[in-house]
Amino acid sequence: MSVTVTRLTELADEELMTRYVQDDEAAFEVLLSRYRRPLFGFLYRYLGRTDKAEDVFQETFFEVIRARKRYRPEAKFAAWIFRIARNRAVDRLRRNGFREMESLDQEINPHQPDGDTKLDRVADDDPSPESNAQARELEEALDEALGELPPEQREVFWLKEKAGLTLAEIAELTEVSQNTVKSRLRYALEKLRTDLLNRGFRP
Amino acid sequence: MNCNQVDNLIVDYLYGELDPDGTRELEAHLDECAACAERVGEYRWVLQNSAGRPDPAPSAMTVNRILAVAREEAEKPRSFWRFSWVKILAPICVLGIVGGIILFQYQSGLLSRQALVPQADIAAERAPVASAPEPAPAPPQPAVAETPPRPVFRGAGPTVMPESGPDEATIAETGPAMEAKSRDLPAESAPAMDSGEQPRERANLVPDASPGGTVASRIAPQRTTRDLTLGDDKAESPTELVCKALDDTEETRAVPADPELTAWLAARMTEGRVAMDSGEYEKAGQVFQAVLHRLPEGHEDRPTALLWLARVYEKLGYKEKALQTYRLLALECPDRKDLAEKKVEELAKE
Repeated sequence: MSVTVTRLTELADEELMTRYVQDDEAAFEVLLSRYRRPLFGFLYRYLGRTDKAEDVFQETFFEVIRARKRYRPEAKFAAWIFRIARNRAVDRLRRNGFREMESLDQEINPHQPDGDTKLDRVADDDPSPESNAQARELEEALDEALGELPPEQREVFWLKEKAGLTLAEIAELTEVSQNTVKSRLRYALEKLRTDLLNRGFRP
Repeated sequence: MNCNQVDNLIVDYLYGELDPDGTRELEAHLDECAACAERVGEYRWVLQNSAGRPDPAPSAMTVNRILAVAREEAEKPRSFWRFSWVKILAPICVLGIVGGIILFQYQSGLLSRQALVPQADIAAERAPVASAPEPAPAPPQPAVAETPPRPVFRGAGPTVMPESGPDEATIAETGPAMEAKSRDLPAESAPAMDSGEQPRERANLVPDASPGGTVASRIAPQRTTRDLTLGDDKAESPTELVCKALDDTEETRAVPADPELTAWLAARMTEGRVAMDSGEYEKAGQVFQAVLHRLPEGHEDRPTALLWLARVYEKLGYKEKALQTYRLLALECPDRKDLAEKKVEELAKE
């Protein structure tokens, strides 16, 4: 059994998805564990709210399950799943017509049986080299600056970071030109840099 | 390369997508231009501090729900046809049945022809007209007429659908009497009882194995409903709940994944959570009760729904109900047993 699991974890996403198409649920579990944090991280940062991110995350994987027979291994799995997630997130934003940004140390849900906070979740795998107060202040300032980015810039910024896609793949996913993607990223980086410097932070 | 060109290529460079020649030229410029070098350093600093941070994770409840749906969907097609021996045996069985029918008809034809010969002779001798061939096609007829239990199932179909009302019927008729009826009757007869029809004979229901199994598993959620009504603290004892859970587990685990159920479930769970968030505990309780009424024991989402319902009871001050629900959770889900027992201890102390 452990041999099988080890082999599965070494497989590429596309091979895992192909196996799940053939009803190998263990392959799906590996995919879910592999994309759990990056995909949720993207949705949380893009949508700005944990509850919405949870909903869209769930909808995305339900869609992956439903549409698995349509998946073609030639397509990069990361691009496929992030496209589903991004489209659903865009729909969600359009429906709501606004976005709210929460602070990471806010309680997720006081009634939730799991009862943890966002920081608890984030801290799970964090080796935390930046435990001092200054690093914390920097993170908070950065969160705020990221939250103030226009949606289009924020979208490409986090897609680039979390999906591991190339600029060309992001352009295809977001249905804009590659130059537009580069331009949005450049503006995003410039804004973040300027914000932090204006607040007194230095590298 | 000048500063403007660096601007145009900076994104490709920072994300490692600039070709080797471009990278060399850009870095050569950075060696000479302190302003650009400083800016590039600051971009890298921003990226390290933003993208390099660990991601939050979705809740265990969400992950478990996704895994449950994935598992059910993966198991759906292999429930019957996936096994190769079924693929081999099924055509053989079909051929055997068809062959049997042909043989039967052939033999019946032979017999009737044999029987006809003397009759024909006699007819030729005595009777005026050939009324004798009439009985010949008759023998196969009863064999066809013997097989109609299927329509009985179709008749029971509508009562099987979870949202068609029997939930209320079963909720209203709770307690030992209802439980005794459920245990004594074959699984398939339960919906007939709910819809007011006369209980059918077991012999009519058992033979139809393939669709019968599906129907039995689909009705299981209703048959195992339990009294967890809000405001009524005199529910069945935990022992009774435990017995029911043990009685039905094996059968109800065979429930196939149902996209309609999945969608309904996701909507109800969200509705319940929203009601909890907004302090509408009565409403949340009704939602989670509806979920539990519909989900059979062994369903992956039952533990989560039980946990929520227990929280609702706690919020509403129904201590006994909360205790029972936590005990049931401990029984149904070994993974949550520690949590459930801890909550039972805490509640018992209060």
